[in-house]
Amino acid sequence: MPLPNRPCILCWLTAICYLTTMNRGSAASIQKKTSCSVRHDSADCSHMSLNDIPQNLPGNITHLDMSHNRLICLPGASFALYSGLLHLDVGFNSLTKLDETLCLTLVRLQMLNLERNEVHVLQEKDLSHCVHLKVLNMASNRLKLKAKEGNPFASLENLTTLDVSKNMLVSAMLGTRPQLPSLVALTLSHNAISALKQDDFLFLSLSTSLRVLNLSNLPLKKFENGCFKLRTLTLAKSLTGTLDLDPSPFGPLTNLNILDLSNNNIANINAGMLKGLVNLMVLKMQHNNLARVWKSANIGGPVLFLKDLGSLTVLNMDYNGLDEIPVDALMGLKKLKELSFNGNVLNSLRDSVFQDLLSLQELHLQKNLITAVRPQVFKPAMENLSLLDMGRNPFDCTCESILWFVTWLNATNTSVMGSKDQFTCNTPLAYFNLTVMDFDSLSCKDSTPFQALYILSSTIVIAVMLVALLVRFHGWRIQFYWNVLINRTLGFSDVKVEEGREFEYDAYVIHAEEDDKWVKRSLLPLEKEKYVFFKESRDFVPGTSLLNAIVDNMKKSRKFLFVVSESLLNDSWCRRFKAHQALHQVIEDSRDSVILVFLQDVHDYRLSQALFLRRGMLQPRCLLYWPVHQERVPAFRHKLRIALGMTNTQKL
Amino acid sequence: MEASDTEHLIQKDELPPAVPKGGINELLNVTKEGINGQMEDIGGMIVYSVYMGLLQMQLILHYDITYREVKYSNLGLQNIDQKMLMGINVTPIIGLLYTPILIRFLGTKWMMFLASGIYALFVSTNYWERYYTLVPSAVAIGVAIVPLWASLGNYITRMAQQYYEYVNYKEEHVQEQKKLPQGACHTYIIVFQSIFYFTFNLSLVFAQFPMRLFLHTSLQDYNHTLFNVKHCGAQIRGMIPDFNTTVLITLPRSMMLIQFLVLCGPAYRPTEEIDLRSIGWGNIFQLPFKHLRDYRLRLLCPFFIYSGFEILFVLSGFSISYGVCVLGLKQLWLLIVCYGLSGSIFSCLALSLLRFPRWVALIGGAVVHAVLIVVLLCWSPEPRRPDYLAPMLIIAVLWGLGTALNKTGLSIILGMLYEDKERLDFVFTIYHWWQAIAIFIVYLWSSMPMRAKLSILLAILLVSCYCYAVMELRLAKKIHFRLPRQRLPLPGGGQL
Repeated sequence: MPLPNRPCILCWLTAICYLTTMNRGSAASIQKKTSCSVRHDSADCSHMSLNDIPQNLPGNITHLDMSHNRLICLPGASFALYSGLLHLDVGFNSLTKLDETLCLTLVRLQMLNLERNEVHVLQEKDLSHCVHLKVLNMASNRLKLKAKEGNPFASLENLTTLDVSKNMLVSAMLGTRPQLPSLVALTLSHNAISALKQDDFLFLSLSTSLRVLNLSNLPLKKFENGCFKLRTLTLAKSLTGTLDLDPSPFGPLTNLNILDLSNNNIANINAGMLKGLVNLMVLKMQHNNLARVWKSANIGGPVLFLKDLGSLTVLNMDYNGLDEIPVDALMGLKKLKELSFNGNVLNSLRDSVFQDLLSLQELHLQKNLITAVRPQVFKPAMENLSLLDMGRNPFDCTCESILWFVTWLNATNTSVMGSKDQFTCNTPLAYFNLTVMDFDSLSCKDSTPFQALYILSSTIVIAVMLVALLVRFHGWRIQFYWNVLINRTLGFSDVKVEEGREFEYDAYVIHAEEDDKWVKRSLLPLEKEKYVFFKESRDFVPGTSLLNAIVDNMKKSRKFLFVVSESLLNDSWCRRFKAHQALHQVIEDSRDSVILVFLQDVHDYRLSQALFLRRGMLQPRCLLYWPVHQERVPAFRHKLRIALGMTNTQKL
Repeated sequence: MEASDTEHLIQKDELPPAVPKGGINELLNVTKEGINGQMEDIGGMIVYSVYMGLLQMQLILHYDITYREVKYSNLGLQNIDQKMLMGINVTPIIGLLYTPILIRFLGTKWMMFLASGIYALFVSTNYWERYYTLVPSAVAIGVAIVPLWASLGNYITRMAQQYYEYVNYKEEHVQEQKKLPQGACHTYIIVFQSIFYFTFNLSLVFAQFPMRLFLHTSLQDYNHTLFNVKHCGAQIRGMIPDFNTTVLITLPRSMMLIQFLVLCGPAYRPTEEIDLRSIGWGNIFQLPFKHLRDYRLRLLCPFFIYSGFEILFVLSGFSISYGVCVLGLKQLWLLIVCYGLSGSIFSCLALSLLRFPRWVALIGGAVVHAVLIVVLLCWSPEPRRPDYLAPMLIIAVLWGLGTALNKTGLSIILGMLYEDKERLDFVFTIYHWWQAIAIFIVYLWSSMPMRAKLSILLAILLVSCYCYAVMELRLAKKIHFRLPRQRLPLPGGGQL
């Protein structure tokens, strides 16, 4: 829990009982009380303009309230009647100093309230006998406590609470030697302390039970390494702008549970400032000026000063002018339960900024400039949320920005701070000032599978196009490789075993004179691979009859290879006799042994007229086209080999 | 270079040749070429109707500010759309540089295949509208548009010639693969082009189906969309000033868009390979420019430009600034359906060229358009007048008539003038390149006053009619024209 910024005067006042009316001879005016009120063992003499302690009170009272009077001094003799006092309240008087005889008389005094007096000097002897004192409130006096005044609190061995706020202290050093062993709470706020020196808190080194040190509202400029062992440190309104100290003043405070740095206008902080605070649970940094520290454009990158606070449960960063949160700023805060960023100018939060905040229960993001609530950012933080305070943001009611949030809001059990009408859309125009609950989530539906569909359809389209173009331009190559593969594994044909012996030649080449060059250059090289062709101009035995030779040699040839070109179709010798003879042979042997090699594109009609052949009559493998491109010649040759190797006998 | 060009003399024959013997019987048979031609027509129609339907719906949806912001909040859809339109309209300008090379390299059929693949790609990007999908695919379409149309025109004409060869296979010149006699296949060209444009114009009708079926119910009526509109027609500047930025009642669910995307897919068209053998890349690159020396092509250029102008004017200028401005967005589909249907039906009017001289179609279309332009120049209807539906539809139908005559007429004339199959692709490239230039100009002038647009349209129309008349007169006088010679290497190259 945070400490109150002001001393809790009222607590003491309520503890004092009311006095019964005893002071009849009072000179008070009509409006004022004319006598002290006594009730049980308490006497209330406040607001009576008294100059002295009234002597007509019962002697057994333990509580005496003398506040709001005109006391100037407190001599011990005036309390001689009331030596049993435990609580004495002399606040709001005009005391200028304390008398050492006071505690000599009131030996059992446990609580002394000196608030709002004029005490300006406090000597060592003044409190030297108040050994039983537990609470001492000296707020709003004029204490300066220069070093020469020694150790005024040295003898207060039982003191648990000391309040010296609103004085004129220039140093936090209330003593030169270790003292105050029972101290629990020390309030030093609203003083003129401008620097905390290294040995300023040396006097607290015996105070093992110190829990609260309130240093708020100090004009601190310098902040040296102290030797705190605190649980709570309140430095609200006490720093001026910078917290960029090295080594960190908080370094030794390993037991610190609560640190309040709010209202300090801190603009500068270094990454190691809170490094050692492994037990810190509550960190309040509201109303500072930490925007620059977390900017990504900050020189040297954003300062991640929260990175070591593993046990932090409450973080308050309200009103810091933050416009961005670095991705790693809140990393590791796995125990954080309450996070507050109210009143900043946060706009777009980066993905995974809240990734580690899995145990978050309260999230305050009111009055920011948040437009989009995306699951990438908020999903981890909103899993276990019990309170969400996110109103008054200019939400952008579009599918991308708000759809997830609206769905979440409709489904969640989390209590939402402020009514849901605080969640209003700012953009687009059609939804302006409407609550986000009115957002029509139907219009966003089904937008999810579209990317997949796009990828699918464009992949299919591109694949079809590529495959088609590949087949178009390299289909011959694929076919070539396929044929080679088939023939390597299965062999060309078993023709040679059955038919090879009957025939002398593998093919009888029928071509026109003009194509002689082509035959020599492109066909005959195949003879090196144990194919034997019959080429008329080469293999005719001179002297034999041409007709007989043709007929005989055709019988000896297994295949008839027509080299089809315009000139062949015009060559009447080839057309009439050789083609006739070849076809005759084909019919006679009942064999399918014609191979057509087209050197030119010839119309089917013309082919049938000249050679009595149609393309449809032959197997596709026996129709070969001489390729235009040089690179396709090997594929052509291979096809020719297949065609030559095919079995001739027709299947029945 | 000059010396290498041979000069040709054209023998003009006004009358179309009689249908050769046996042709009628053969026409009854469904032949391979016929089927391929039909397949090509239908394939082109499907691709274009899907493409245009989607583009139109996409533009309307993206126009609506709520749709834009709710669904694509910080995507900058308008910016993307602008870039996309720029990609489609500006890229074709460089088409003249690569189209002949592409066509020669891939072949006509494969060029069309590739182009329709690119259209399919564009359609599929509509699933995922992002800058990096839409803009590249739009640029790709811009690249493909001139080659696609050039090869389409080339293909249809070649199909007609092949069909002639197929029917007349017994003729000597067919068997020996010689040049066809002058005017022999004009009949087929006329029929094929008419059928093509008949089918193609139907794509405009089909393109409206998605809008009618899916978007129609979510569109605001004219009282909302035209609330601030003060003027329409000839008076206005730009498209429709003060048109409401919200046009949708409810945001349509995206799911429905899927249903017709399935239609698309590049239809593989098995056709006979058209043999366009290499004549050297550098030469091919130069040839379109060399063909521009031919006065026939030069004098037809204004008509090419007009042809691009008018189709875009009717689809963007007339239908938006007159139609939508007066009748509201809900009637847009009706106007375009009427226009497309009439274009489709009146394409058959081009068959009259079988009986009449060839200038009838072009000049007839020009006259219809000239009258309509003059009417539109004088007509500034008030906005929000649904009773003007009938006159609007009549104008759309008449404009469709003019478009049909113009498009079929131009393609038929090109097919008649350039019978040499080696030149067809260059000629059609030039034709569609000029069209692309015109489309680019229309894209640029979108913010000009309507009267200026109409005046430019009318001026171009008159100039093109004059130039066309000059050309026909010169041809009648048998004035020589220059054609670049094409060195055609022997098949087989240097391997023989």
